[in-house]
Amino acid sequence: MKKKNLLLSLLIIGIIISAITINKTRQKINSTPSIKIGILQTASHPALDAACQGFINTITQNTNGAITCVVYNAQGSIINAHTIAERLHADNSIKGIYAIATPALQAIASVEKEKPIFIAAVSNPYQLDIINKKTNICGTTDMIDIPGTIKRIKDILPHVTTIALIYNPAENNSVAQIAIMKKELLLHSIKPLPIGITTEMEIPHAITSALSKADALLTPTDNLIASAMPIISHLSRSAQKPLIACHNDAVKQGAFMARGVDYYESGKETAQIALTVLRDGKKPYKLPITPTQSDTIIINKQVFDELGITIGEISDTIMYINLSEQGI
Amino acid sequence: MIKLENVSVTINGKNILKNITCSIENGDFIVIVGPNGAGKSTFFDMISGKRIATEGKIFLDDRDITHLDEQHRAAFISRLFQNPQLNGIASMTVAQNLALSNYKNKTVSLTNGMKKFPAHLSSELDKLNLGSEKILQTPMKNLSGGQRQLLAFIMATILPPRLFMLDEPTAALDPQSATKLLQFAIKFINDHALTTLLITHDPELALAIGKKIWILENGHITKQFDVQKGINLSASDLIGHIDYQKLMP
Amino acid sequence: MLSEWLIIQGIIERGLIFSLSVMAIYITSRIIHFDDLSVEGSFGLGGALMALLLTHNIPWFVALAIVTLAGASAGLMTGLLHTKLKLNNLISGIVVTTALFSINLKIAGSNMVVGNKTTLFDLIPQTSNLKIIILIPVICSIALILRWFLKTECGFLFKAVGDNPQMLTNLGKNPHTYVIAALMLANGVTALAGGLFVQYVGYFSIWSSVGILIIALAGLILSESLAKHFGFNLIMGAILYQAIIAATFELNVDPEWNKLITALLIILLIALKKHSSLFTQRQS
Repeated sequence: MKKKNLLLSLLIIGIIISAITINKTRQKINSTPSIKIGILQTASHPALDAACQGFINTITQNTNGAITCVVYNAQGSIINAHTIAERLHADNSIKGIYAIATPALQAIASVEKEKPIFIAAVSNPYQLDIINKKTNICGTTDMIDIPGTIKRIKDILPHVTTIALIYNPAENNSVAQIAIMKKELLLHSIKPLPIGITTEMEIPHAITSALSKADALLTPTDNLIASAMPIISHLSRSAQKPLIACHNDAVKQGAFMARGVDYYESGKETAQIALTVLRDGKKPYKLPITPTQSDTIIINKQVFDELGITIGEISDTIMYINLSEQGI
Repeated sequence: MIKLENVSVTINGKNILKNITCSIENGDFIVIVGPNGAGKSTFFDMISGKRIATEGKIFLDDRDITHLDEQHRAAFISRLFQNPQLNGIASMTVAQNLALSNYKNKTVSLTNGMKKFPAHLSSELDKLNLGSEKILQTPMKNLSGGQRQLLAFIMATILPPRLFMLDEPTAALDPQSATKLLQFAIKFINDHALTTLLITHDPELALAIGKKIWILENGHITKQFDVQKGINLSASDLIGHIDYQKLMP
Repeated sequence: MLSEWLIIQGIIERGLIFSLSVMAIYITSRIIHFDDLSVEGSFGLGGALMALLLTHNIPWFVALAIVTLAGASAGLMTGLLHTKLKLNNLISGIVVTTALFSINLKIAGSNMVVGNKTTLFDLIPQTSNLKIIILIPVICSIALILRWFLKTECGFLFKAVGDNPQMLTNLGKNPHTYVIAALMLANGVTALAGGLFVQYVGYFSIWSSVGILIIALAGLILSESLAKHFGFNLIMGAILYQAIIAATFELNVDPEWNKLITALLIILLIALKKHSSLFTQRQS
């Protein structure tokens, strides 16, 4: 390689270093001495966006600007997640990191062993073999109460005999939830019909096929399914069959009902945990990692009317909401 | 040495070579002339193995090679194509091409690629102005047409083949380069007594260099002339033997 | 300066690992002129198999050898699809990558944690945080071995078959053999990269290989703006692309604009190079 080319590439690297240094100086000049939390969001979709927003709002409201957040999005790429994780680890002005969803957590955990890591939208962090006794990880999970949810389905929709389970076999969390769902459905004499989808392209066909064979659809907490929720709910409504989801935002997007994770709430709860660590000095390993989910059943009013269902006796609180302003 | 018996070649339903029987003896220098579309290149393809005969047989000495593929016939046949791209590696240097051509009929190993560079040809190359260090490091595609053909010729004959086939070697060359190439080629062929087949459009050339002339028309070998037997032919005679009426498709 | 160094260290480490896939794409696209799209599949295969082997306590160096061979067999598949079934180059690669997604999923599931198993990076215990110290010699050695190989007779025949397969036939060699051999070499090296990546991050994810094709191609294009042959320019190109991605995050204008910014930075870089070479030409 000629000398000129070597010099040029060194020049480029020099430019990159300058960008980094300028950025740092800019931050130093602009900001008042504040603690910064770096946020790594795995991908863009409403559930994770809600988890991010809930966190940021809570932090802002409770600290009056003493703690600020800077958001990065890996846009679904593990490699980007690592690049960002490296950056958050290297930045000394970032005192804590908020990882949204499992890929973000794995990326951060592989480089950051000291700064506290706050999590949300991770189904089972213990499975990842990164939590030890003096761990720096704390926060909330989106583990759902499957037996409870299945029982409620049986109570509310007693006529349902077959339920299609729409999931992504390439997402660990998805597979684990489906296994439990199958078991619980059979206990309630409902036939489960698992349907695996790995890309967005497959969704219309798979859902249409599922709707022709089942009385209702059930989706677990799953990044792919969550991002495709609009089309899945649209097809379900056209076929006049109820779609039951496990995260509450789905109901705003047209799912019939959900009794599960409210990602905005998850974000809020994790933010409270973060405040305990950063403000009050509590150690992460002393704080339990808890699932957030509510027992409130969320039902979409329009879809409820469309399906013409009568709800039997149940003791839970039911909240009726409307479709989100964006509509479907 | 090579015998064809009732060989026909049909391509896409069209009968290109029709029932050809002929033989090529050791030491022959046969020039093949004929109008466009007569099937000359297909004739070459069939002998070199690029096309397998649809009917008939080919023999090398007493061995039936009708179904032997091109790669294996290359052990005893060398061919210079009309399209210069096919005669070497355009993006590699002259030196690399020469080394490469010396891989013929030898097992490939992990020794350095330039090891088989034919150093013994240095003086030959110098005589042809191909031996300078500058030329040796030039990519083949940057040589002039004439130099390229000369190089291709040397590459094809590094290991003297049993049958050497040249398809219109001077077609794309200017008269000066063409002459230079032919002078070299003819001397080489005579010195090594190479059995040669050469295709040309040019009847004067055919008369000048061939010992035997075959006329290929419409898939048949219509006439075979043995120049050594002192036949008094002129170029216009040759043209006369090619029936242009039959050219109409 | 400490924290800047960490970012740069990460850029160089990732660039070094991915440079193997740039080398692989160089061999397929630039030498044998076969656009092989099975990079993502082979990278994932290397990772999945590495995770599986490490969790079953196979020593890391044995595992690296095994994943390389597995990658080679993926290349063999692509080659056979093309030469025997006469499938077009692109389709052959796509078919193999698609099949490998399922195979990789079956091998390691969607996510497999390697945890505390001994890896290449534990070779010098004090440096497990400075993986760059191990990566530089390892990747450079592989690059040197490949460069040596491309200068052997077999390497010459790779170049020849990409330029003019007829030449191989003229020499009594089978061009298909060399196309397949090159594909096996390239995919073996890519799988090796995938295996190293799993050792580097400590886990396998079925989604890790998403984007690898772009990384390899972008790395190749950037390296060609430095030099056209097979050499350290390929490593520099891979590192440069990682630097561009990192710079994009550094500027963090708005996460949604990131990909556009990356594209603009690439254009800027190539334009700078073209401009500077014009400048030097005018001088002489």
